[in-house]
Amino acid sequence: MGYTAIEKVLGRAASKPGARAGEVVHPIPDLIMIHDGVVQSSKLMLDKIGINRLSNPEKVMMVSDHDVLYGSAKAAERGSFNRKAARDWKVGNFLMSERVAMAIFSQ
Amino acid sequence: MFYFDNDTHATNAGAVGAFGMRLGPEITTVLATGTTWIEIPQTIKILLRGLLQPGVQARDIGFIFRVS
Repeated sequence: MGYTAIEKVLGRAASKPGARAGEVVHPIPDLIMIHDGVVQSSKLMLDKIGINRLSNPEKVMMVSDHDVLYGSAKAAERGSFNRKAARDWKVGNFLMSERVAMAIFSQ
Repeated sequence: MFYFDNDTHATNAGAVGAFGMRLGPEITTVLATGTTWIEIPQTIKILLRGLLQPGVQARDIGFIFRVS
């Protein structure tokens, strides 16, 4: 029996050709996306357990598409935090919303 | 292409033949380790017949499936 597109994609990513639906795998992603709404919680969580660098920062795409124009002081503070986190983590791709679609589809 | 995302919009990548998987807060595990475990999902076939009525868009069909 043939393989579905998802089985092929995840089998390749997990270096497990022939993987089938229902199997548990550990795929290595081509890209890791995170948006501005969760950067702060993720950074604080990782800092708390002593993890101050990312496994593959060159694969990370940090997107600011929720608070692009800061409408409040809180939003501006979070934006500043996120930019610092991107620098600290050496994130490979930090993008504002208008460039997101082009960046994703060009890869 | 395969990618992990924290957001539910990850599945939009299907429009260009990529597979994006939404993890939510578990994205933190991927940031730290480079991967996480997932169960390969099944694929289902949906056949739609007929025409959409005026004013009904493809997104409306998506919402029906979402709540089904």
